Amino acid sequence: MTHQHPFHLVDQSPWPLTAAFGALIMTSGLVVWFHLGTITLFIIGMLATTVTAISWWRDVVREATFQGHHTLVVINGLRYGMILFITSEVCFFFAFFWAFFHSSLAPTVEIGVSWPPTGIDALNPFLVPLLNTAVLLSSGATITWAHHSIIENNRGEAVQALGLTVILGLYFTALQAWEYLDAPFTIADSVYGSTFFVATGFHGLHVIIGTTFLAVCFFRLLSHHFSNHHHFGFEAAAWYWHFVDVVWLFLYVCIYWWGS
Amino acid sequence: MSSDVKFDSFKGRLASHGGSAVPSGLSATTVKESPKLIWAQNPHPPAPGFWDDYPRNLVKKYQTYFQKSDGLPVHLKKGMKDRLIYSSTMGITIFGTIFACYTLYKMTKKD
Repeated sequence: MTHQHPFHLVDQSPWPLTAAFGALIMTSGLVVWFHLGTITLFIIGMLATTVTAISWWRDVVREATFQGHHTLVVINGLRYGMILFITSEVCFFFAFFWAFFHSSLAPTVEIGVSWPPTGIDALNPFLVPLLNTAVLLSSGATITWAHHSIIENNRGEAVQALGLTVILGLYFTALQAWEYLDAPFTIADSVYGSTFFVATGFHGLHVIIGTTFLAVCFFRLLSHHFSNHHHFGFEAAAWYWHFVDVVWLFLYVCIYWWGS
Repeated sequence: MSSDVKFDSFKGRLASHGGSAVPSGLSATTVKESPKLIWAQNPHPPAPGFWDDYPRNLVKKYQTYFQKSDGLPVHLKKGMKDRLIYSSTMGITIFGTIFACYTLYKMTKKD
């Protein structure tokens, strides 16, 4: 197969179709679960979406590492794609912060004209949340260590640093789960509970996605998929991880600290 | 002014005529050249370690495999295993879509 151009013309693939219908099944499944209490359709939707995601990204790895379709021009396109994706995620979190400040800067009479609302016992920001801040900031350092090790062809340290980053991501998720179980308020406790759990919950979801992304990079690193000048998959994961880290700093300062 | 350094009226500056070019009262200094800079080189190249060969590098093998011209699209390139994943995902999706349409239709009917 010879090309006269640097672009990647993709093969026909079933994954966009199964992704779209999988999402339809999953959201319909949620509606059915909420109304009738049966979870079957939701599980079918999750299964279709998960298998699609794994297979689609498996194909991207095949195209990149095994077929050599990711030329500099293609990687440039991926770079723009990742930047646009993270920008859209910034807008997503911006909306949650807007909701939080809308409710907290001028608390209504219904919640006792105070923030946290009357009767809400907020979490102490200098206990587990501060530890979580330290964990995420440390993971930002270890991922930079991993990046420099990849650039310097130091495989041993790259494996060590990236493995440590994944472990720190898992530790953050565990601490956050513990904090949720321990919280003296729920998502149903006034607008405080709603804004708190929606913002920190979606951040937690992003940490889980980011940890999965990093774990995939870890196994790709073990499988010799990254060279010192060709490792955009890792860079994209690192960008995403730093984004998740920065969102946490805003959450910590605004919602946990100022908001308590 | 030392005898071998004279004012050159044509050039408008001090000029030496052999011997030391250093004016009296000043000591001669040697210009120290900074060491030659070498760019783009790892100052501490890692010693060959355990992780260099572990796990075994199979990239070349897979590159040969996935680049053979068999006319198959990338999602079916690995044969039976790929066909199984493809057909089962399609099966789950088709079944789920019909099931979703059926359930949502049924929910519109009041008991």
